[in-house]
Parts: sequence; C-alpha cells; structure tokens
Amino acid sequence: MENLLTVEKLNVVYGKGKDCVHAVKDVTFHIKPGEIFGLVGESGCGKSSLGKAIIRLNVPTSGSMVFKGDDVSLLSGRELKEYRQEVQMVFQDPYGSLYPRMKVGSAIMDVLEVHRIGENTSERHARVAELFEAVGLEPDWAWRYPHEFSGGQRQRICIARALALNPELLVADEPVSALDVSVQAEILELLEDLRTQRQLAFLFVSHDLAVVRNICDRVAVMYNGEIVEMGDVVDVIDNPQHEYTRTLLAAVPAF
Amino acid sequence: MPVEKGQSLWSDAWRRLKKNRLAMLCLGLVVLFTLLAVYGEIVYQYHHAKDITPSYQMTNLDVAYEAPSTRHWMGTDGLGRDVMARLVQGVRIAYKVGIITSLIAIPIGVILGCLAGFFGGRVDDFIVWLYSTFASMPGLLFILAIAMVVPDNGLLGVYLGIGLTTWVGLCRLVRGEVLKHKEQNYVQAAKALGIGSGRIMFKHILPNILHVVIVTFTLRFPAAVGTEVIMSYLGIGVQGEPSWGLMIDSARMRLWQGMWWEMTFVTLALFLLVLAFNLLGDALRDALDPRLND
Amino acid sequence: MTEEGNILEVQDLSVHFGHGEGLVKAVDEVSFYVGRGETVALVGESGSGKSISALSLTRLAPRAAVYAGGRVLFNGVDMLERSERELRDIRGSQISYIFQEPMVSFNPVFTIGWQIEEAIRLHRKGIDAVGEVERLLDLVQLPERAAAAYPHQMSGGQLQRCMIAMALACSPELLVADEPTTALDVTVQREILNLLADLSQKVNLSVLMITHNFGIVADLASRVYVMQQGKIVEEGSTKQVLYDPQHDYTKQLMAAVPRLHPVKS
Repeated sequence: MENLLTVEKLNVVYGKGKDCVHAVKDVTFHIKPGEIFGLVGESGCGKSSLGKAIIRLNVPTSGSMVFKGDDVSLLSGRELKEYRQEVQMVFQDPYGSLYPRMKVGSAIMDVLEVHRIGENTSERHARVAELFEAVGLEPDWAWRYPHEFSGGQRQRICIARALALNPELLVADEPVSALDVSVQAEILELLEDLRTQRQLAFLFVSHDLAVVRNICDRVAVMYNGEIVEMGDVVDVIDNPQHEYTRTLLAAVPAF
Repeated sequence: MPVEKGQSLWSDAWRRLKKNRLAMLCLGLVVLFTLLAVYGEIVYQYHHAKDITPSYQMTNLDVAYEAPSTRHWMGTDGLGRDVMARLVQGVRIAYKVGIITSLIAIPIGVILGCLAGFFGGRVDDFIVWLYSTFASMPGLLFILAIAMVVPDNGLLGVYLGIGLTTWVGLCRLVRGEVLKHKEQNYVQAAKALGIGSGRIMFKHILPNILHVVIVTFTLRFPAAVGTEVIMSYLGIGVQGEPSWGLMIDSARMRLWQGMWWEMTFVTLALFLLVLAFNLLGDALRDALDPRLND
Repeated sequence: MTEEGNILEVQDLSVHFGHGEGLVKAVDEVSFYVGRGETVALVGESGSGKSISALSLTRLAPRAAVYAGGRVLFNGVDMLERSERELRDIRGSQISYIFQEPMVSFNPVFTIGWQIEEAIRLHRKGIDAVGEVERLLDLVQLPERAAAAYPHQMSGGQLQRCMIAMALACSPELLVADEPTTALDVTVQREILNLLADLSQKVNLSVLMITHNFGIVADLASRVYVMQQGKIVEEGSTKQVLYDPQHDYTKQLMAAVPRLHPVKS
C-alpha cells in the first residue's frame, strides 16, 4: 500500500545562532492509510514539535513531508488551507480547546462554514448531528455549552470537530493523558472504531507506553529530537533494541 | 542549577539591582532628592528655632520677575525671591506629602487587602463595604473635610486627608492578588507544613505581590504632590512655606506674560523626581522576581 | 477490627460540601488504617474523594468542607477534635504532605534552602538549620548547592526531591503523598518512587499514597483501598486487589488499565 505521509530528514529548529534549539533532528518515518502510528518520548524530546510540524503549525527548517504524493513542508496560503482539511489535530486538554461561551455545535458549524462544506445551514446542521453520532454522543447535545460535558465527552466533541472536514490523518497529541482510566479506555476504543470505519490514520503522540502498546500498530521512540528506535509496537516493547527504550520501559511502574 | 550563593530575598534583589545601570542612576537621583529634603528640613528647623526669616522667604520687589542669570540661576518670582532656593526648599514638602501619605495609605491598603483576600467571608464583606464607601465619596471633598477638622492648620490635615483616602485602589489590587495567590499550591504546601495564617499571608504571599505595592508607591507619589498642589491652591494645607504646589500656582498667573522660568523649573524637578521613582520602582519590581534574572 | 498501635486509623469519616439539594458527600463514611512503617495506597479516579480524604487527616480540606462525622485517630488521638493550633504543630512535624505538582508547590520568590530551613525552624527550635538542610538534601541525593537555587531553576524531579526533603525535615511519623509523581516523566517518576521506597525503609516511615496509577500501587504499597464516589468499595492486600478484584468497579477499572504486557487470554 502506498504511504499516506512520508517524512524524510525533517528538522525543526527554534531561534537562531547560539540560542537556537534543535527540537527535531533528521527525523524519517512514514504513515500508511488507516494506520495508528505512535510517537513516544518524555517531555522535551521533540514529539510535540514534530506533531505540530506535521500539521504545519510549525514550519520545518529542512527536510521533506510528502502527503499523498505532494510535498507539504513549505505550503502556504490556499494550498495550506486545503492540506489542513485533510490533516487535523486533537489536543491533550479538552477543557482548554473548546471556547467556553460558544455552543459546541456552533463551533463545528463555524469550521464547516469556513471551509464551505454543505450548501446551507440545514445541511450543516445535519452534518453536525452526523458527526456527533459518529463519536458516540447524542445529536441534540450539540446545542449545549462545553461546561455541561464531562472530560471524556469534551474529548469526543474535539474529535467530532476534527472529523468535520473528513481528514485522512489525525494528529492526536496526548489525547487521553488528562482523562481517568475508564474514560481513557472508551476514547481509545472510539479512535480504534474511527480507524476501521473511516480508514483514518493517526499520529498518536504520547508519553504513556502502555497506552501506545494497546492502540498503535507501529511506534517511534524519540529522545533528544531524534528517533532512536522504530518498529512494530509489540517488537519494540517486548524486545527493545536501543538503550534509551530499555530505560524507559524499565521505568514504567507496571504489574 | 545555579552556583552563586543565594541569601535572602532582599540581598538577592539588591545584587540584581546593582547590575542595572539605569536603576542605579535613578537611585542616585532619589538619594540626591532625599538629601535635599533633609537639608530643607534642617534649614527650616534652624530658622524656625531662631525665629528669623530665611533668605528664600525674603521679598525684594526690586528684583521681581528676573529671568535666569548668573546671580539667580532659575530667576526670581513675583516677590523677588530666588526660584532655585525655593525649589530646593520645596523638595521637603513634596517628600513629606509623598512619603508620609504613603506611610499612612500603603499599610492600610496592604493589611486590609491581605485580610480580605485571605480570609474571605465576613471579613472580606466588611472590607469591601468599607472601601466601596470610601471610593464612593468624591476624593477631594473628603480630603478637604478631613483637613478642615484637623485642628493644626499646617500639613497634618493634608497628610491625613490624602493618606486616609488613597488606600482604596491599593487595597483592591492587593485583595485581588491575594485571592489569586491563596489558591496556589505553594500556599497549600505551606499550610500542610503547619505554618500559621499570619505568616503565610505576610511572609509567603506578600513578597509575591510586592510588585503591586512598589508600583503603587511610585505612582502615588506624583499623585500626592498633585493633590498637595490643589489643596495649597485652595488655601488649605501649606501656608507660608514654599511648596511646589504653591510655586506652580503662582507661576501659573504670569506664564502668559512670558515668565516661563518658575513653571519650567518646578515642573522639571517634579518630572525628574517622579521619573526617578518610577524607573527605580520598575527595576526593583524586576529585581524582586527571581524568575526574571538569569 | 484493626490491631492496637496503628499510626493512623480513620473511622467512618464523612466530609460534605454544600447542603440541602446541593449536598455533595465527597467522602462518605470511609474507614481505613495505616500501620507503623507500612505503605498503604488509596486509589480512585478523579472525584472519588481520595484527595479530600487525605487532606481531611489534618483538616486541610477546602474551607467549604464540613466534617460531618467519623474520627481520624492519629496515634490514638482524634484529629477532628483538636484545635487549629494543635493541628498546626502536627502538620509538617508529625504528618507531612507532598503534592502532585512540585513546580508550583514552592514559593517562587524564596530559595529552596530558605524554604526547607523554615520548615525546620518552625517545628524544631534551636537546631542548626543550615546543617540540617545539608543533611536533608543529601538524604534525597541532591548536592548542597541546591539550597541556593530558586524553584524555577530546578527540574520537576529535583523539585520533588526538595519537596520530600522538606516533608522529612521534622522526621514525621506519617507521610501523605498525593499523586507525587503524576506530573513527572516516567524515568524521573521511577527515581522518585525508588527514593520513596528507600526512605520509607531507612527512616521507618509510614506512607499513605494517593494515586490513580495501579502500577505505582503495585510498586510501593502493601495494602490498597479503592475509592469510588466517596466510598471505599474494595480493600485488601495489593496482590489480592490487583490480581483478584472482587468488586465490580475494581474489575472494570482493572480491565480498563492499559497494560504494557497484556496477559494473553
């Protein structure tokens, strides 16, 4: 199968001269359609910078990112807007990423309007209802405010919003880290469902190896901006090759 | 991790402040003004004790309204008195008004603000009621009322008037900051260590909100001098002794006739004093925040 | 029945917020105990009442809390009946806390040394505080110069070590650790957990560990209490609760925990 996204020798550098921070160093990997690709590492390892570069919230300093055959690393303007319809992001904090004074459905309507999806308001309404159903929420709930929902429900809303444009790749930055275990399990199940139903691919950024083990197909371990180990998730976790991966795995309190 | 040896909050702040050239220049200016104020007080007390008229009060109508020259560097006023001498003497009043009113207003504002923010409930209700009441009265009228009832016809009325009316803004700011800080984890951690409320309020929270107090102090200084100007103009407050307020008032009358020097030098002095205090205050605020200095 | 001489015995503790219609029973008739030198875990999801229970031990719960009933026996004396003054003497000297977010649990304008010294001076008058700070920093494996640092100059892991040093400043009998490693990276978490295990042995400390992470429970605790909506739904030895849970909620929870090495069934 052809790759959905191919990243080659990608670098992200913040600042210039002596004070520059080399957040992502020569990173190379690919994601296939419908694949959940994990990116693990500790804080400051560059995993979030990489995630942001993929969705082009950062401009990569060098290297290439080929998405469905087109290099997207230096897109701007209208082309960037088009690219962003196909790649969406879900953040860690579902509380912070919803505007508190706007009904959650209106926020999604906005996204649809900006990208001119749906002919008129009633069509967009129908689309919002459909999205809510897709993430396991009652369609009428779209006309409530964010504070009326629990943490898990809010993360579902964020996912619904991300799905509004029918993306093919979802960058999920620690999507379940702020949630309780039982809620975490439900959201992971939802992501799994979306993958099978919609052939959606994920870049799943996380610090939690156990979560990654349970949802991802392949995983890359990042340390100091570099990918130190990459492979099938079961192989990497059951039989780590790199010293750092071993340290990381040994540190996890598990039973 | 650092290698330099940290001592206390203030000695560290001083070390950091010393590195700031502009701040040291302002500190020099403030010291200079302070010395002038002390000098003025000595001169005043000396003449007062001996019951003689000091030179800056001697009128000589022959030399009225003389422009700046080598004899009178800043010219003379309508009664032929040397502007520079009066200006120097005026520092004393400006300082007294600025500092004494601060000494009255700042402790009231800080203590009430801390209590209201920290304890909340009834204490907060009462203090908010109190400052709302004060804030609802027209400030100047209230100051005038206080100045009228204080028997001494000197400056005591001015000090009390300004001091007792200008704590409201600071109190409100401090209350807000304390409300914010008391929810912070370090306060919870301090409580869990068994530290009492008073110590948490004044030893732990207050240093974190000192910047509010410092900025308020530097801002209220010119405001207090300004109020003194208005009060002197209205005839309450400074009588006889030269104050910047009185000087600006008298210079105002002749300004349109081209007598620019008195107004210019007095406002310049006021401007320098205020600028020095403001810049020093800003630098001090930064020096007191360890996070800003690495 | 529990045996004599437990350091902490909580009996039917209830902590409520609000009243009438809006009454929330944050802690609802909860009983548990910690034996001397024992490490006990209180686990649950957010809103289960585990943190409020921990804070209530020295009446540190938020002001709005009402201690509606029960007893908190520390060395046999009921903490809920003590005066605020007596409690202040106990906090930090006999019962110490460490909190979740070390980065914000220190006062940003004072040096670490100053803050540890304060803890020492507060409860142990007439002691060489500076020397003590050195000893404590050494205990948590930090260099002496850490004393001169300000909180923002240290990493989360270093700060959590300082927090532990501060908590141990007055040789407490009970350490209450409220999610002590949740905000930390996994390798740093490992170091802190090892340090805690080490120290509890070295100074014969009793530890009440509040956490949502079953891995940490398995690592450190000998017994565990599972809380849900203010109640303890299951208690027992760590082994029994983790590998053979009895209550439905515990079973669900254990099924939801993502495993690093899933058991093949």
